[in-house]
Amino acid sequence: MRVVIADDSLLVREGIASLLRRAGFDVVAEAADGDEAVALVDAHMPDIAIVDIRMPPTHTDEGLRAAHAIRARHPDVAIVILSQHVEAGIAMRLLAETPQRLGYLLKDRVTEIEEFAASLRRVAGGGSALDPKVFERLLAAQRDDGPLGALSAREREVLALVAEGLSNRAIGERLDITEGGVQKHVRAVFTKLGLATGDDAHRRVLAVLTYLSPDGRR
Amino acid sequence: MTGRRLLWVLAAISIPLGFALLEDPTLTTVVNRAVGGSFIVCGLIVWQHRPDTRTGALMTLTGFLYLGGQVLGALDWPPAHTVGEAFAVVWLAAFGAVVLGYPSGRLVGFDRVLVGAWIFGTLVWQLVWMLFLPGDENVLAVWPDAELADTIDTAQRTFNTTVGATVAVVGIHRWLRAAPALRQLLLPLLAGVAAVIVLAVQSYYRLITGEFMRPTQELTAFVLFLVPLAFLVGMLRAQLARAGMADLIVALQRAPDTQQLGAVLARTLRDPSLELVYWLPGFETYIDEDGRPCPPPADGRVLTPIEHDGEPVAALVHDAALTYEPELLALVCAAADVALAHTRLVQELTRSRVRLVEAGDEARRKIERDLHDGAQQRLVSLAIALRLTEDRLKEDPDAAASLVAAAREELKASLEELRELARGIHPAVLEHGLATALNSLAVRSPTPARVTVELDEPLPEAVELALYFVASEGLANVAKYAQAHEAEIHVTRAGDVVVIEVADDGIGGADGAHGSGLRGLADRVEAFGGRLRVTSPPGGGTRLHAELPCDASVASSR
Repeated sequence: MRVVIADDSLLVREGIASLLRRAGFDVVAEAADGDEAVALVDAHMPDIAIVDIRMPPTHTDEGLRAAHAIRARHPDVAIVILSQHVEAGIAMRLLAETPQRLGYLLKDRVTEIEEFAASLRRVAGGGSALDPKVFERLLAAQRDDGPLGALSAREREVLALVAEGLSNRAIGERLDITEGGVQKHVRAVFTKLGLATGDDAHRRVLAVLTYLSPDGRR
Repeated sequence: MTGRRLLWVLAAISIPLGFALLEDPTLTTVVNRAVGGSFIVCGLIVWQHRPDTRTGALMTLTGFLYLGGQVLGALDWPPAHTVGEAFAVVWLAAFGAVVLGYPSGRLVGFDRVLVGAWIFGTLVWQLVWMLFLPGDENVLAVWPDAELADTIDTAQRTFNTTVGATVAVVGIHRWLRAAPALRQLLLPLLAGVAAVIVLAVQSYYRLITGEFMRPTQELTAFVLFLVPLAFLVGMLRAQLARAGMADLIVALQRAPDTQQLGAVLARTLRDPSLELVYWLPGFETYIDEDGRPCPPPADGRVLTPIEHDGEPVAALVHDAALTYEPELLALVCAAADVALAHTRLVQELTRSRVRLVEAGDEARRKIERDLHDGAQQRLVSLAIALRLTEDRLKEDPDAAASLVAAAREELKASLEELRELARGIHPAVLEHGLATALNSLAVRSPTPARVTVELDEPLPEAVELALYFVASEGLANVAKYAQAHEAEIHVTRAGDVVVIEVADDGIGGADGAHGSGLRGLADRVEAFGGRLRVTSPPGGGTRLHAELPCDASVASSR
């Protein structure tokens, strides 16, 4: 799988490249800022672009701009946005725009290389990958006596993985249960929360996030 | 004071004397004789209540001239009679001054010409006439010639009547030009004009027909008797307008915002057309509430500047009639100045608060940026390096060892960055005393710096922190701009004030341009009620001088 990495820190960039190469990825190019990232994606047409959110010159949202540009020019290129800290608001916005082939992860996740690699493959395969921190944050802001309180511990685990963007089969592998079992849990959770069950993993992510977001419920 | 008391005594003698000398008392002659007394009494009262105007004095003068002419003229002793005759009509000039000067009693421009003309016509011309007027009682009759005297008399009357008519026209014009609300204030002016008109008509009649116009002569006496009363009432009412100042002060306290200020001032000055305009220093022009340049005032309107420390800050554009109340206008301007100064201070305080908050936000943003780009980034790469090491430990121990060495360097750099960052947030070294903290600043300064701290006892923590930041920012500026060989920090206490100076021997010429730091320092110092001064002559080094009150209550009350 061909990868382009964009991060302004040389050490981090090289580190991620090393880890990915060892995990079997083909790192074809490395960029130090947003414009270079767009240019290198144009040039190499990778399967996936890994983009740091804050890069020169303003160190604010260059990565997001680059991601937009890449998405507009090459809708088939999967994009994973890395950040030092994740914000639920940014996650919501990104997923609402284009949930497919999109990931938003904490930068530290790269050291858990197996899971990171799985996320990349999932995103490249058309799914989404959302950092567990986003779900954690949103969950922490929930009231205990709401419908979420009615979920069993296992149902919560399933919901968290749904929010990360995992498919039923991936959830089953992670929790070591059958895909059918996962399907049953997911259906139960979605019914309890009053959400429409869908099969697209990335649509489910958005449904869960919208449900959990402070301004999402009407 | 005593002068006025003397005039009261003189009035008490001369008024009854006037009546006593009356030969055939009829209603008309009695009233005519009472005119002078009316002017004197009303004039003295006005004088007492409105010493800020000359109207009272002018009315008193009019009265004495009127009465004096009559009394002396009635005496049998020729010299007295002559003086009485000489001064018989000069009261008209004084009366003209009362009318034209109302209510301030001050004459400007054409008014002076008119009054001057009347003095000439009623006194000089009168004396010339008397040189030729035959008669035993006229001691001035040098060349008695009845015919010539008559010709002079006719010319003199024509002249004086014309001046009187002009005075009437000017008075009416002035009244009509005043804002409707102010016409009430100027009603006595109209009464005076009415008297002048009656006199003029009567005089013309006599000039044309050669006979007295009986009914008007009686009317004249009544009108002249009542006019001083009208002036008295008008002047005391104007005093009530000044009492409106008290209401103004109260209103200003309730409504210090500038939009309402104009309305409050308009109400006090009873000029609904009044506008408050603001001085725009850079453009040397006045602008209105909406920022539009204010055109030069149109005819009948006047611009009175409001100054603060000799600098214009605003102006009132108002009816010209108000200039006849200069003291009231001055009071209102002073009140407006106070209100505007208050607003300015509030705005300045708000701005400085906003700047302090913004400076705090900016500082936090910088800390986040420093953490993000520095320590956090390093720690991520460290985590990655360790992860890579983990993989290589067994298969390639040498590579693993060099990775660990690199990771250790990375960790050291991270620690150093965190230390610097922490010191920027709060200098913990201050806990070891201000002198220690300033010395450690000096040691880190790229420009060699000497520190002297002359303090007997420690200062409140917040004050020490402020001093530390003045020194820190000062040394940073020295390093950045001054091209200095050495710098000096000096802290000393003068009474309740602690003074810090950061001086260098560099190129000087610092202007607040590299100054968001300096502005921030000034805000910090001013928040404690202190002051920050920068003296930086080109080529003469830069001296940062800050004074702060040392007392802790000031520091904690911000």
